[in-house]
Amino acid sequence: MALLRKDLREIGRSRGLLLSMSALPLTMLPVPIFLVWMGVHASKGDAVNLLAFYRGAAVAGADPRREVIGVMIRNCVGLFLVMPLFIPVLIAAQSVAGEKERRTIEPLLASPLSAAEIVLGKSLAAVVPALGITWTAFVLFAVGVDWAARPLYGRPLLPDAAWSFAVLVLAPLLCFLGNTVTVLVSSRVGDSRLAQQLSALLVVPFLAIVTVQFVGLLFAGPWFFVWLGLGAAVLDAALFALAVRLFDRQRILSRWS
Amino acid sequence: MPPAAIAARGLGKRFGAKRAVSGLDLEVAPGEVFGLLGPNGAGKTTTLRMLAGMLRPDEGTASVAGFDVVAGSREVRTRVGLLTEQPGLYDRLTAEENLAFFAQLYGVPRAEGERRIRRLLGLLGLWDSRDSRAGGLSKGMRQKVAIARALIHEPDVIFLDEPTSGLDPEAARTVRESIAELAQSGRTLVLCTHNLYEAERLCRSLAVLRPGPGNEGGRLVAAADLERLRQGRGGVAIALAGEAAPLAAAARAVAGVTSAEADGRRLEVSFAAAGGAPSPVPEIVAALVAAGARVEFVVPRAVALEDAYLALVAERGAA
Repeated sequence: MALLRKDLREIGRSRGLLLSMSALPLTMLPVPIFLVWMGVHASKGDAVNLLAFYRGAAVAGADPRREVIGVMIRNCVGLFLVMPLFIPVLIAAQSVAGEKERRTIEPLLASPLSAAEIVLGKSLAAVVPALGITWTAFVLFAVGVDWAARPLYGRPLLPDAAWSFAVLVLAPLLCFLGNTVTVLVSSRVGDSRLAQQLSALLVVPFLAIVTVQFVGLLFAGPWFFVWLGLGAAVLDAALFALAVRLFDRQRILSRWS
Repeated sequence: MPPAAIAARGLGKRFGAKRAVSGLDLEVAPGEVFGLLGPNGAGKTTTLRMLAGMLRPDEGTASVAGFDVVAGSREVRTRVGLLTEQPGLYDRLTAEENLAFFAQLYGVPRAEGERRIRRLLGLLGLWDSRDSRAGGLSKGMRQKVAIARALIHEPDVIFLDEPTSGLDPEAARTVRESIAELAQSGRTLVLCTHNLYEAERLCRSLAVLRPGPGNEGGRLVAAADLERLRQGRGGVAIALAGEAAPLAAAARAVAGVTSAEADGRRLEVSFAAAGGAPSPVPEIVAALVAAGARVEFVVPRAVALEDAYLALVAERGAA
């Protein structure tokens, strides 16, 4: 807990890091809200054309604008989940490889903390703020979407079951995944920027899936997200155990201090 | 006799094909101020990290504060305070926050930690800077905060790794004064340095390490109290009636003489009387007279640790 508190305090005083962490939600949130607003104010003809692009045909009888907004909101789940995956990469790279860079790692390694305690403390220090930002961003997103969609629906659209699962189950699992991969990479390299760049590659396959989904080549239904959650949980457990094993005092001291 | 605070037998460490330390035997009594001397690459820091429970030795055994450095490495780390060569402070935290963090890591209760922080910052003259971010402190102040950090959990054994390295003379002096005060506290102190002046001022006993040839690693060449290291070593300044330079060779030829340097009409002669042999000064004077010198007077010179250290490293290197 002491390590967690210390890291959180340091993060809170790092303007550059705070700016990088908030840049992602600030750039990601307005676009989907604007798209929902556009969907609400689009003509039915335009909505039918868009649906044809996604599914080949509109659903008979339903207001095509509602269908379009439904597709958009569902597609945004994947895009939104980039946030909990990526923000811990920024923090963990600073807090693990950064300790080596700033030569603060030796006194920490001289303390009675075990490797598991150091890795866990560092992980929580990355996951807690990343989840805080993700959940705050979701609240703002939900408020924005509900405001934009109200003229057409007359009721709040979010949170629904899919988003609740994404935000409450997937986001923590992906946060932990982004963190653990970065801790692993950081314990092998001595430069926080290199650790950040290598760990950020984790986002690439995820972004590829989101892009494929947005251009209509993939329909990510509920099972996709359930499998994603299961995969992330298994990877989290395996990679955390590996990160603890590879966080070796001896190796760190002989190579980086 | 109380058990040694530090005991090492045949301690060795290698990194890949390169040996950093080999066959190190060491014993440090509780409350002793012990210096670990040696040139760069002699394995001082590696030795210290093994004794602090941070690196696993590849050979031999060691115990610190009664715990084996491998089987009880966590207990060792709990009972040891380490001042690293770089202060390694968290620049975005204040001096007080840095200390509070380490107090928590070592399990010091909050109220007790606050009391210790007040006392240590006061002792080291840092109380007025307690709320300053560590990144904004001078080098000397940062090193003093690091000293306070090494003491926050009141360790039994304190390792100081090159505590004045990279400091300007004024900062180095204040840090040395802090260490001298610490030496009075009755704790076991191990000072790892290549600064002989510092070792001479602060330590009561010393071990000298020197790098082995090739990949052999640092070896212990001597371990004794300061007076014993100096014993049998001496020097004289010999004033002559004429130029000293042509006579230096005659002095060097005397058994036990390690150096003879001419300076105008004066000859500076250093010697090591091996195995408790008597001083070779009469033989030196006789040799000079036989070579045609007119000796006006002979003044004994105090042996600095530097002479003893250099002679030790050179002797064992040649052996």
